[in-house]
Amino acid sequence: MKNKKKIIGVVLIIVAVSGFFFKFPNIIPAVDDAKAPVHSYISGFYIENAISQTGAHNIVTAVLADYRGFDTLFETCVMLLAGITALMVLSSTAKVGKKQKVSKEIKNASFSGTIIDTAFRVIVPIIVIYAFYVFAHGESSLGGGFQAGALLAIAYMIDRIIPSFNNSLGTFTEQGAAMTAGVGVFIYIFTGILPMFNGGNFLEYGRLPFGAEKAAELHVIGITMIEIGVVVCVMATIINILEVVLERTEFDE
Amino acid sequence: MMEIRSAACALLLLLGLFFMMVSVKGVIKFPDFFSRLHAIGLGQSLGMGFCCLGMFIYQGPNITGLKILMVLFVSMLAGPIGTHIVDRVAFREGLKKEEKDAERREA
Amino acid sequence: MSVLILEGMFMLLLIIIAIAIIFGKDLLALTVIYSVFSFAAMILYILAGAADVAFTEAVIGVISTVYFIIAIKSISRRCK
Repeated sequence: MKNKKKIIGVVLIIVAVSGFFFKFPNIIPAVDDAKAPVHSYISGFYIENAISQTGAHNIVTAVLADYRGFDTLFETCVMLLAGITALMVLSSTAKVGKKQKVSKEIKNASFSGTIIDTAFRVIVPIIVIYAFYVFAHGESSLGGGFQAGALLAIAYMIDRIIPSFNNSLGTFTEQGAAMTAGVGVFIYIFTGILPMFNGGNFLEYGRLPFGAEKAAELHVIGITMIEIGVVVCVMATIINILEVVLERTEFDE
Repeated sequence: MMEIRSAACALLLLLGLFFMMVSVKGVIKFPDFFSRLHAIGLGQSLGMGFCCLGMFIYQGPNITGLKILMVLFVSMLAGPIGTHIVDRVAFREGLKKEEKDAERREA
Repeated sequence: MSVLILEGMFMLLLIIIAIAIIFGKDLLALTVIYSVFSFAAMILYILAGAADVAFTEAVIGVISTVYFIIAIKSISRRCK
């Protein structure tokens, strides 16, 4: 009975959407159409002037971090808010404490012996180095702050979920992760306020108070500083949501 | 020279594809969890290795080839480790050998 | 022309996976299928020319799969 409703709904949606796009085939221009309205107003300006004004060969990073830096600031704020919201919504559920270890014949052996320990001691530094590579090459090839932050969070996640690593560096508490995300947003806003001491506007990289010969070098310094803020915020938000959910889940071990 | 490289690359890619497909056929066909895990762990790592080797031969020893070799190294590291972890968890959860899958699905 | 066929194949895969997720019953198996969905979306982003977005999608696919598995642990595994 409920299955029939689902089938009717799915068929209706497929027929409606594909019928609409078969009836009006020219409503969305092709991706590489140079005369489409998407590409004809400001894309030419970005393509001609991005390298000389910004010093970034990757035009996507130049647009995201320099020409549209204000939007990226609020995107980072939204990530911080997502972490805080997860904390608030789930804070009424009780945390699950550690239970006593039930000793069975199979479970007496520890989960990981030499193989898993050694393997992850090799893999986690490789992931961290790759994350820093992606962050540092954000201006000339693929990458940027968001990907690097997510990769660092994956390295922390491995460390946290495999139960044999003794966490000698400690784990993040959920409030600590939310505060670290706030520190990331603060680094971003600090880079925005610095030019105001030198006679510029908010987030105007051309007037950062560092000495440089060409104006493009100041832009590169500005982009790198805000990407540091984005990396810290993204990593802390992902770790925040992980810790909030992980401490309130029961694992039978 | 380029033709020999292209031919060798195509041959190695086809070999890698063959091993991957055989391992997937094994996953569908085997009756038991541990045999299926064995099939896919070995087959996918080997197939990935052949594909990466073929691409490295096509590129030659320049910087892109070096990056492909790094990908080969990490994937050869990660495949057997993943298989080992899944195996370990299944063993600790008490999944007995030779248990037919239909009984497990009822639980 | 061949790129169009490739794109069409992956879009068809997206539709099939979406239909399978709607009608599926075992939540843990659906999580695995969702990661294939993320992979197909990543290939479509590469074919459309956006390589940065594809890289981000690959990384986020891993993280979201882990989140889903941890969330399914608290609720029952079968869906009526």
